[in-house]
Amino acid sequence: MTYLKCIIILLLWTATIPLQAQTLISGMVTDEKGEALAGANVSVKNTYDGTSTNIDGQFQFSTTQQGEAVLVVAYISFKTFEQKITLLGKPVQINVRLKEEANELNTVVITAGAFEASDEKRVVVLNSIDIATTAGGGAGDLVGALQTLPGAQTVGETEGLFVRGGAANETKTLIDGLVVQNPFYSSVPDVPQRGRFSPFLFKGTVFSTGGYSAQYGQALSSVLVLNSQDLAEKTQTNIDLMTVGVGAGHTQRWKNTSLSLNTRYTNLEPVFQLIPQNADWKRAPESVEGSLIFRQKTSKTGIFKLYSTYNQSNLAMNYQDISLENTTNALDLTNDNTYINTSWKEALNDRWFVQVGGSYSHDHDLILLNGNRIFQQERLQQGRITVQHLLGENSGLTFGGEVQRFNFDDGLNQLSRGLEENYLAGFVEADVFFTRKLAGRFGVRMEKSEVIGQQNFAPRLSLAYKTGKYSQVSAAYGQFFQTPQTNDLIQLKTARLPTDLQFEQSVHYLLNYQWMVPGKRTFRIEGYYKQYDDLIKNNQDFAQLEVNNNGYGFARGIELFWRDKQTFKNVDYWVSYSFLDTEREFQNFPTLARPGFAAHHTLSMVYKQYFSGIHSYVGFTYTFSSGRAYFNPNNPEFHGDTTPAYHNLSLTYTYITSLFDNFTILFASINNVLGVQNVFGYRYAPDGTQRQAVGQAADRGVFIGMFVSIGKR
Amino acid sequence: MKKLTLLLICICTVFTLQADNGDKYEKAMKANLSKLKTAKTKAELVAVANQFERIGNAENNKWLPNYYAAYCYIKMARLEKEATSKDQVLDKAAALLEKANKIDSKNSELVTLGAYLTLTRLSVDPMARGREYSGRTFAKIGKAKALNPENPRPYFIEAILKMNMPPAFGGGKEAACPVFKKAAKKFETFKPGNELMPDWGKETNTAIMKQGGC
Repeated sequence: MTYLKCIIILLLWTATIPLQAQTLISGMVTDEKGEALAGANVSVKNTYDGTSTNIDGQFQFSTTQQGEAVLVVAYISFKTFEQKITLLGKPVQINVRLKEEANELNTVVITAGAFEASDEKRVVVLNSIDIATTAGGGAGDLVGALQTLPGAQTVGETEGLFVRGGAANETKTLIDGLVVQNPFYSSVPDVPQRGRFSPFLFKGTVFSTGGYSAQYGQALSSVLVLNSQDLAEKTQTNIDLMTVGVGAGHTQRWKNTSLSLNTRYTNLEPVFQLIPQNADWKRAPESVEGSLIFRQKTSKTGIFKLYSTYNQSNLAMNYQDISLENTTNALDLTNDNTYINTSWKEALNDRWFVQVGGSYSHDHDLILLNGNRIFQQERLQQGRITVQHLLGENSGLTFGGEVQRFNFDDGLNQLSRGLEENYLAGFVEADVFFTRKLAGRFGVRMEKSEVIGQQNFAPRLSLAYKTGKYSQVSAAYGQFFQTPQTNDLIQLKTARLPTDLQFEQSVHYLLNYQWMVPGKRTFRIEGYYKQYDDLIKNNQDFAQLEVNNNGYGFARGIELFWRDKQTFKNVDYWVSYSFLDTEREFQNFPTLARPGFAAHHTLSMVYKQYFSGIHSYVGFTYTFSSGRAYFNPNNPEFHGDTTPAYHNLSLTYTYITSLFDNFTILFASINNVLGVQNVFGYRYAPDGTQRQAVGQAADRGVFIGMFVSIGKR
Repeated sequence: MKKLTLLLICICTVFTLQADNGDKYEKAMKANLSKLKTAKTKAELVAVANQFERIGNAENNKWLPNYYAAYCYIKMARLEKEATSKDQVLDKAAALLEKANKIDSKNSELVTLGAYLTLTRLSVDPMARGREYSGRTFAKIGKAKALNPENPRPYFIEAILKMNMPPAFGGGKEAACPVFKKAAKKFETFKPGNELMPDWGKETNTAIMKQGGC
């Protein structure tokens, strides 16, 4: 009995052992062009049987498998190939062509008109460290660093990004897709203000100098798109000691949550005591600031973000303007600013993504001018939704909408007035990859403005073609609209005139060639033409006010950019050159003329070197720009005079060390080392006999700061 | 008696047949591990990695084949010249490691290899990635130590990371040497569970210690 059982078990077992007949499988593996791929993994699926291709792409192996099987061929960065085969003992010959997967070197990028700074992607021009360590403009000032890129003008007497012949109000700043109403500290005459946001808040920055996406609007020239950081890396405490003030912050990191609280007090008085100032300060700028950053991972792919900040600042000065009735004006400014930005991002599945956001901002200026009390208040509430759907390998569809409510109020002593705007926009944009080498972005944006009772329809288009492993050509076209400035609208309203103006508009055409070895060298050349229409003209005569859309203009130019991190060890440098030819008739211009903020030639050179022996970065930035036009009442030609050229050499020194075992950065910068007395324009007395130069707030600037991070390393 | 003998033969035959697959796995792994020891060039490493991956695909409840395949790709990344190619190779290593992690999610060796992977990612572009990737590497090192305090490899990875970090960030020779020494001590006492289990790093640890003058 046992014997029989044993025989049966043995028989059953032997039946499951395959016959040891072998099948020889051989062939060749190539890419789509027929080039041999060495080292591809060829196997019979879910078995040990297989081999790697040799240097000629050939393979040969035998398998003991029988019958139906699947041959698998896998190779790094190529799509895995599978094919059914039948194994009968007869040799099998099979040649395989593998398709390459899309990656940053074989796929074109739609980039015309944009400079991208990212810490995540590598096919970019700058990252946040580059921005923070760029000399000039202001230490660690985001906008200061962007001004060293082609397309941006050097305007030393006021803040803002002046792009390709556009005024500062033609550039919009967005955080996580939401417009920032007051990206700079409150403006005072002839003193440029810093941006409110630290470059370290963002993991990615896109500075588009033209032809930008249909996702954004209300900017005739340019958008600055900032994407905020995700969860904080770790728990730590920061202490900042600076010549301009002190700051402290703490970041706590839990598994899926992080919370940062920061506060800062700045006072420029000590610096102003040491360094001669051209402006006549009564009380140096002083400010108190607090911010809260909260992040919560809501799922494996979802994140909720909240950023909230409050700032109060104050200053007082005697402001000289010989074109006014009072040549000397006593000005005292107190500004209160609250900003809240919140967003939630989630992947619904691997093809659908959604981002919902909302923001609130409140900005209040209280100005005491020669004993008069002036106030100005801006409130902006907005909501936005963006849905993204991936189609195929790279192609995709993005659509969404946004709604804004804007309230403006101002007043002089007992008088006050207000304006409300409701704005609605929707957009659809398709990224189409015809091939990996040729791609297009087709978008439309529709906007509706209640205050002027107008709607618009703006088509946008960009095309990109990859010409080589590292190079590509792109072209872009787009139509851009902007609601007239609040100031013009509220004047019409005060004069009891209708506010039914048109949108101001511009059309961009641009052509770009880029050669970039990721992380090493970049060369870019871009040419553009811009047509402005329906620009606002105003006669600034309050008795017989006239505001219309009769303005127009153009801008054209060519820009070059070269960055090299490879040639010299530990050296990173870039050179930007912009040629700009622009004229417009707008505001109170009597004719077509070059605006005062536009220079024909702008050159920036940024150099940084790391000295590992002394753990230091040393850098300089040199900026040159040719003279700018200004109005001289004695010259019959409007804007017929030109200022002398502008030169600025700035130095930075960054020392990385540890202080009581805590990571510490020591940072020092000198702006305008040579003390060049740059002039940005002139103001004339009403009778034209006397003039006053509009110059720098100070001939030199010095900043020293020590930033200590306390926490587990 | 005769019946008993037959029964014994019968049982033995069945066991031998059953053991066949386990034997095949061990044989294949051993053969490939000895190839890994001598693999220097990219082509040799790819061949070894491919074989490990094939074993891993056939034995989908074993983490070791994919672990070693990922290890090969991490080594291979250093042989690539361009940053993009390095990242592609490391993406492959990450995918293999992910597969292994699904089989065994609380394994000190797998977490250590994860730390080695992030360390290699850091080395692709230290200027840009240093801050973020050093944090991630340290987090993995800590987890690997907690899972098995006797494992010398998390200390070895930590020492390499510290050796290559600027002193201001908590790195440098002074910070790295004690960790190298700790790793060396653990390498002396560490016994891998069996012949197939990870046992790498000892020689390099000694070599770097010597080279760095610890």
